[in-house]
Amino acid sequence: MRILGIDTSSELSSVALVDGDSVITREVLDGRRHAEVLAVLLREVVDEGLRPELIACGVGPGPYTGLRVGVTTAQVLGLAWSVPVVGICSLDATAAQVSCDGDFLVTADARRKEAYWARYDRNRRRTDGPRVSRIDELDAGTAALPRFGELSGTSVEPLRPRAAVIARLAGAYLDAGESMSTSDIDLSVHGGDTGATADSVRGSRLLAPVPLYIRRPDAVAPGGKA
Amino acid sequence: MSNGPLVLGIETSCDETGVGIVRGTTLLVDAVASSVEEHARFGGVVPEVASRAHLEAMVPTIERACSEAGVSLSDIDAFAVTAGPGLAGALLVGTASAKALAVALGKPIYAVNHLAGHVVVDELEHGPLPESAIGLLVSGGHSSLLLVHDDAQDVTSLGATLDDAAGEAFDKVARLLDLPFPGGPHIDRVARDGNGSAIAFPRGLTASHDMAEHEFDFSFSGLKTSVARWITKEKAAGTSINVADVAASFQEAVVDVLTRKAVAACLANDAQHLVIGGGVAANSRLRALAQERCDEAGISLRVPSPKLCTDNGAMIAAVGAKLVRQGAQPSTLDFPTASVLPVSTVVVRDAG
Ligand SMILES: [Zn+2]
Repeated sequence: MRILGIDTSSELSSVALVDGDSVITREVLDGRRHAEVLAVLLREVVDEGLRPELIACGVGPGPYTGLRVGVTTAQVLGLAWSVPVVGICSLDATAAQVSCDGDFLVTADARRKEAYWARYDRNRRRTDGPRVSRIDELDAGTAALPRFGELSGTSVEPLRPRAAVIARLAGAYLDAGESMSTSDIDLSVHGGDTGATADSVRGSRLLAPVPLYIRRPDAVAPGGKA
Repeated sequence: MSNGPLVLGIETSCDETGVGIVRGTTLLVDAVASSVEEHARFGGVVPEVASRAHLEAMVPTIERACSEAGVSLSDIDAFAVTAGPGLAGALLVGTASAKALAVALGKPIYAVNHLAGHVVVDELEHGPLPESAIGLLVSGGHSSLLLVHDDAQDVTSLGATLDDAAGEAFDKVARLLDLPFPGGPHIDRVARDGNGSAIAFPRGLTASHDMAEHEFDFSFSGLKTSVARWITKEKAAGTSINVADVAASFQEAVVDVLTRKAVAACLANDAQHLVIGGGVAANSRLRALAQERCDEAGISLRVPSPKLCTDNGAMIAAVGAKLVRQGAQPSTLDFPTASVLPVSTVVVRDAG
């Protein structure tokens, strides 16, 4: 199956068209220019290959502004081409690039000195998360695990979600007969998401193509009634 | 039936997700999903809440627009989208959507200025603007006077607010009077039972020493402060507040300045037409006083129906269709959004 992968949940704008062993990838590393570069990358990939049969999008968690560019783009492409769109937790796509003998953590920059994180077993299966917290507030056992991704504390270039991995994961989950999580992510309460989006996807791997915000918006009603 | 390009416009600069489709200067559909109620409890638009709502509403609103207009996305000749000014995160949802449509369907895209849309939208109801016109744009986000040349690619800013937007002043005074958000419609309603000349609130930037430098600029924060002081003083004196009179007198102060400066701008620039746009254009007293003063000055007043005055996708499609008709060069896919965008930039061409 020809799958178009998209991820903009990190500083990387990543697009890939995956069809069996064939992969066309375009990427730009610039966390402030997702909106400017993504469509250009897409046109290059689309011009080179055939129209996809499925779109798979990294749904974060990650900084909202960039994340929304990718998720919106995926949704609208799906509408314009009449092809289905699925979401993949972006941390899962980072985890898929990790080789580790035991449990490990994947982290992404959540700003405000916090990290988005999820825990994986040696088979790269998510066992906890995604969650958001300060790294120094993790319990001792979790904090002791090897960390990969952004804020991993290593000096090497961090692993980031890649569109080709997103596309491959989506294909593998579908082949394995998994169905898309349609768990009720109630985005109609935009002011009230305190983590419900993440709770609803724990244990799911094939997600609806909507952002995993996890945190509620910064907004305080007059008089402090948030 | 008119001919002309079939253009789909997307608008997400504030809290309305707008998708409009026009053919030439004929409006086919104006679909809007608003998140205003989600902002009401915060007493103002919360950018992050608006961005989340835009993303959620985008695909359903595009679908609704196409089905109501009876067109399919592949029929569209060009896409237009608000590039600015507006809330940065909100603009990104609209531009990402329009770019995705342009890529998927291989059609040109025009990244246009929201403010030009508020003027050009009038062509959908009252026909092409025959010559230069003055635009008075008043909403929660803007208060400005523009000179729009017949070719809408040429827009000059004559003046703007130095502090609060007119709609913002309505919101703030509504809060002082314990009226709900957004304040405009509530003040308009309450003021109908009041006396607009009961209290002499100040007219910002109309004194002769201000006019030299700020002939066509506005200032509403002093007016708001003056209303607040007046209420505090009356309460301290134990007088009960006549809400209708306060609302009417405040509203009169705002629309007096707006219409006086707008008509003066027409006369100073030999413009025969005044177009009023933005949410505050729905204010009944503004419409009445503008009509009165335009009639006196021999100027034709053009005010779109209230639904086209507030932010919507049709106004963006209208600009796009005009640009297509003029053979204007489309934007490239890498164009940026601009939360601050001068009115003279009608089309954002590229990243440069
Ligand atoms: Zn507006």
